[in-house]
Order: sequence, then structure tokens, then C-alpha cells
Amino acid sequence: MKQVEFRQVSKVFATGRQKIVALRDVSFAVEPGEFWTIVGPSGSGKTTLLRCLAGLERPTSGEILVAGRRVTAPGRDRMMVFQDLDQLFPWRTVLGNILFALRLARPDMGRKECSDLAHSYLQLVGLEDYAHLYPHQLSGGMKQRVAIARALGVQPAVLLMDEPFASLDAITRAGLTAELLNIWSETRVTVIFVTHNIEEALITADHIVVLARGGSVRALLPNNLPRPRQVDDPAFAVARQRLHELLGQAQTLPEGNAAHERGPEAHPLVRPAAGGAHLS
Amino acid sequence: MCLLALVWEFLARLHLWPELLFPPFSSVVASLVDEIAQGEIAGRTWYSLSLIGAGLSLAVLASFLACALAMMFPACADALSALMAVLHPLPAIAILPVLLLWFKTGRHSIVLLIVFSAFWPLTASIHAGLRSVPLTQIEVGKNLGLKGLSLVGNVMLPAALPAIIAGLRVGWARAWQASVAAEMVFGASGKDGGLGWFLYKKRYFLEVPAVFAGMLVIIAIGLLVENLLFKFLERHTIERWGMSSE
Ligand SMILES: Nc1ncnc2c1ncn2[C@@H]1O[C@H](COP(=O)(O)OP(=O)(O)OP(=O)(O)O)[C@@H](O)[C@H]1O
Ligand SMILES: [Mg+2]
Repeated sequence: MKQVEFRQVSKVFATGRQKIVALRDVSFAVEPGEFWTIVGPSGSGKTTLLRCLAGLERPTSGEILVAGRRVTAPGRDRMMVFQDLDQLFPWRTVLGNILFALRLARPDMGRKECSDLAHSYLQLVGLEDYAHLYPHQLSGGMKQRVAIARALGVQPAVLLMDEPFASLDAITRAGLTAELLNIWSETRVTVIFVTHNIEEALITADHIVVLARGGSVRALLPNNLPRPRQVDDPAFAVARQRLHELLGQAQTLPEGNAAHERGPEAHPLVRPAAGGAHLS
Repeated sequence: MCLLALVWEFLARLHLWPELLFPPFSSVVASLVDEIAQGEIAGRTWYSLSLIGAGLSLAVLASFLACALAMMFPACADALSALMAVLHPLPAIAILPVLLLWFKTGRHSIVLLIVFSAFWPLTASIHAGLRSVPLTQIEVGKNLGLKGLSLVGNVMLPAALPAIIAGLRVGWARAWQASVAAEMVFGASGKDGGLGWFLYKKRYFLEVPAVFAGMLVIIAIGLLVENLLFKFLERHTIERWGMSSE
């Protein structure tokens, strides 16, 4: 069974007289344990897509299935990590935040067990020394790591991440991206990750969804670069070029329905030729 | 504070004004000690504080109720802000004549006056606080499966705590003013009466040092509540949590 399935999902916001199409006929299916990355220009509906999946927003038409069940409300099987640095509860410590989520998710678990588990998630994000600090005493990157640990503690089937590292500097960001990949390979949780950053998308994703302005899917790209991905790999440069072009095309609004009806592009990023990996 | 007392003493000793109107600090202290020894001032203070306690608790309950209604039903929010616009600027003491007509003199009228004076600032601040809870934190709560009262108790109220404390501060100050002012306007019923009545009576008998002594007590209580209660509360909650900048 598919872990996540979008079936012709559209979302239209009606603000006063104006109608804004945020998502348009979005369809794709995610296998359990896969890492999907959504890219697209600003306003192309990336956040809306995640919020619909999280159940914080209702699609105007179409449906979203998680493990075969239709999404109608928020749930602990889909945990969201937001972009904002104020998503932690400031009145709870780092450990308190994780414990709070854990107790809600696992009411059957004893105190000791809960606390051990919370510590193990803190360790997973490398913050065991900061357990008793309050969120305002942490750096932005640390806050986002706590938010990830809190979300993982709930043991969701799918982890949703909306540009969680966007407000951090480039080096912290690269470090956290690598850390996220480690966590993903350890926990094998399904991840849907939104980013603006082409390299981040290429490094992380099994599949890349390129959204265009107007909310339609410009491309669904299986990312077949071998892991661990190296930015200095020649194939990486080729893939980067291709994704860059697609994103450039995604900037322009589709002319009528023509571009839309052609359907999304779906070739693998790097086309293997006879006799081994060849640069397309 | 000590300096202030010294300046006071010095100015009074210059006899620029008749001693009857501006007694030196030392005679005020003497009178204060005297009144404390007689037990009158303690009883009056206790009486005032008990009225304020009752009035303020009622006001807090009513404010939370009003805010809950306003958050649940948009029509209630509109009604509340309309009422607030009309009644909040009205000095509480101005409704005293009406209260006296409806409820006669006595503690009920004073308690109601305290409720009225504290309710508006409390409600304004709690409502603003609840509306400005970061949306992300509410959504994290929903994502974790909280809804209804559990969402309110676990996310909304703690997130609104800075505004709630600010509201309590203003509410307490207004309540204190209202109780003193009310008793000075119509006195007390029978033997009961608080610090306002104490001031009124002492002025009537021209016991000026005692009037000043009463004022000192009022100031002292204000400082105690501010420093012991509110500062303590803040230090252990919103300051510790880094939420006090709002
Ligand atoms: N609550 C809302 N009400 C009205 N319009 C909205 C709402 N949320 C999003 N939109 C509109 O939907 C479109 C998609 O927004 P969305 O936030 O999903 O874009 P995004 O791809 O996440 O952009 P960014 O990269 O800047 O975060 C935008 O045109 C936006 O104006
Ligand atoms: Mg966004």
C-alpha cells in the first residue's frame, strides 16, 4: 500500500472577490520510507500541499490518502515541522517539549520509559546536554532540531517538513540537512520535505516534485543519483542544471491549459545510457 | 526611600506650612505605630483586602468566561468589543451612584464596583493575549491531537500568560483605587469599613498624621503586592521562559 497518495488534489483560496489557485490537480504516490522533496517558486503552493496533507487545510477537490485512509483532520501519524522558530512551547524545557508530545502519543507508557525514550530522541539530534534549557536559550538551529526530535518522538508514519532550515545560515543548514539524512536512514520514516534550495533537493530526495506557479506539478523526477550524494560529482552538476531549468520554466504561469495538459515531466534526473552511468 | 523620608522630615521642620496640614514624617510614623497598636488599621486593611479579594476573583472569573464566549462565538466578540469601547473609558467611580441606587450602601456595592473596575482592563488584556497566541503553536497542539479544552489549557493559556499577568496587574491597581475611592464617597456602613473609610474619618477629625499614616499603608501594600506577588510570579514563569518581552 502507498504511504501517501495525492489524487487530483486542488486547493482554491477565496479571499473576498479574488480566487487564488494554490494547488491544481496534484497527483503523486509515495512508498513507505521514501524521501520526497517538493521544490517550486515562491507562491507555487508548497506550504499549502503540506498543510493539506497535515490536515490543517482542506483540499477544494480531490483526496489525500495516508496508508489508505483519507485525510480529514490533523493526526499524530503525520507530524509537521514548521519553518517558524517559535514552534516550540516556550514554557516547557527542551526535554519537556519532547515529553509532552510523547505522553500524548503514548498514554500507555510509564514515566521512566517515557523519559528514557525522550532522552534517546534528544540524543538522536545531538542535544542531550541541553535537555533542561528553555527554548529561548537555544540557537535557531537547535530549536529546529528539538522540533524534529519532538515530531519523531510521536513516531509518525510521515514526517512533514516545511523549509525547516530556511532561516538558518548556509553552514548550519548543510549540517542539519546531513543530520536529517542520517536520522532518516536510522528511523526509515517517510519524509515529505519542502525547500527552495536546488542542492538541498538533490542531496536529500528519492523523488523531486517540481511545482509551477499556479500550483500544478511541472515535473515528478525520480532522483537516481547514487547516495551519499556529492556536490562535486559530475552527474550532480548535470542534475543541478536540469532542475535549474525546470524551476526556471516553473516561474512562468502556464499559458491556458496547454502546459498543464501536457502533464508533468517524469524522466529520471540522470539518464543511464548503455555501458554505465552517462551524463545526459 | 530613606532619602524621601529625610527630605519630608526636613521640609516639615522648616514650618513653611502649618504643621496641622503637613506633619513631619516622625509624627506620621508615631501615629502609624499608635494606630497599629490600637488594632484599628490592621482591621481596616484586612477589610479592604477581603473586599478586593472577592471583587478581583469575581472579575477574573467573569473575564475568562467573557473571553471564552468571545473566542467561541464571533457575535459575542463583537458585542464584547462594543461594550468595551463604551464602558472601559468610564471611570469606575462614576457608576457608584447607580450601584448605590440598585444595591444600597454596603459591601455588595463596593465589591460590585471593584468587579466593574477590574473587569474591563482584565478582559481587554486576556482577550488580546488569547488572540495573539502564535498560530504555529496552536497548530502544533492540533497536530499532537489536542482540541477543545485540552488545547486551551495546554497551549492557549500558557501562551497568553504574559498578557494575563499584565491584565491582573492593571486589574489589581484599579480594584484598589475603586475600593478606597468608594469608601471616601459614601463612608462605610455601621462599624465595617476599609482603609478608604479610615482616611475619610481621620480627615474629618483632623487627625492629619493618621491620614498620612493611612496613605503609607496603602503605598506599602501596593509595593508588597507588586514586588512579592507579581514580580515573584513573573520571575518564576514568563521571565524564566523568555516570554516577558511582550
Ligand atoms: N490562507 C490563505 N488564504 C489565501 N490565500 C492563501 C492562503 N495560504 C496560501 N495562499 C495563497 O496560495 C498560494 C500558495 O501559497 P503557499 O504558501 O502554499 O506557497 P509556497 O510555495 O509555500 O511559497 P513560499 O516558497 O514563499 O513559502 C499563494 O498565492 C498564496 O497567496
Ligand atoms: Mg511556504
